[in-house]
Amino acid sequence: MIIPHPLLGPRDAQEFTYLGDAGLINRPYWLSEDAARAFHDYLYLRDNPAGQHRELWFHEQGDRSWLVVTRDTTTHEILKVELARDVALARRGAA
Amino acid sequence: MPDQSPAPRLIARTAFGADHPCVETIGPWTLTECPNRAIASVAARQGHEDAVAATLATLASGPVDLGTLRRGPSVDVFGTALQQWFVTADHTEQEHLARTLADDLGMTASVTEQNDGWVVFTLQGDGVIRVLERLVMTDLRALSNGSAQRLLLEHMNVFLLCREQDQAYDILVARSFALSLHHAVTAAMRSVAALSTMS
Repeated sequence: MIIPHPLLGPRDAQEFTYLGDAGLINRPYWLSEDAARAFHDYLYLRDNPAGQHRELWFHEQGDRSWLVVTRDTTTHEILKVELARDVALARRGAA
Repeated sequence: MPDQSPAPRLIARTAFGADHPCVETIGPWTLTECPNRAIASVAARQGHEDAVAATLATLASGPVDLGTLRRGPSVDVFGTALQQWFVTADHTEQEHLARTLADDLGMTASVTEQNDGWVVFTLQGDGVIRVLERLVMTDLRALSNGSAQRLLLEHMNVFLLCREQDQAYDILVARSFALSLHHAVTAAMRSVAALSTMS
């Protein structure tokens, strides 16, 4: 599988480490009223789609960047690759 | 009272425990260890990215983007990640490279000395891509002069710097991997050289 890195171009998936669902970026605020329930959901509840899935990949053997990769789990087709920092900053900007 | 302690007799050793750099010539290619390189890493601190890039651009006589190597009058600079760079220089002339950089950059960047962390090899000779293509997963024909990539070579994380395409490359590897890298590269050199002698 080749991942088209937004800064470095096409790179082999062997250089990357998979972390999991891109929803892990949205860590709940630990002092909120419903923190216990929010962290339970954050830790244990995952979607398991057959189809498009947004996931986190770490370019460990490259520039050490975190990526949000949108991948079709049935075909392994990669539909979109973004820097996780851009995703997180956009989310913070929107909030 | 005069100092009775014996005079220090420290001898610099290479990563191979030898007193001379390792040089290996197989076929038309030569792998050379270059122990005389001073290395420092630079990471821009938040809010100072442009200032650090500008300072390094002055040193390297031009902007240094991610994935590129630029040779300045006294130092070489290459981009290793977003807002991060490696600076290398001649160790005899600039033993205190990291300290000099830290003084120049002040609070705008974090500078770490990497002198003993890495071993620099040069691999050169006509058609050296035939050796490298067995070792790294990147499009070497698309890797032009002055490219710098961090990638896997067998199980090792290396920086591959293209000085002259198909002629001369630098390989930086963690010092503890020096023997493994030497083994991997010389094995590939031997295999490709053997292929060309087959009738």
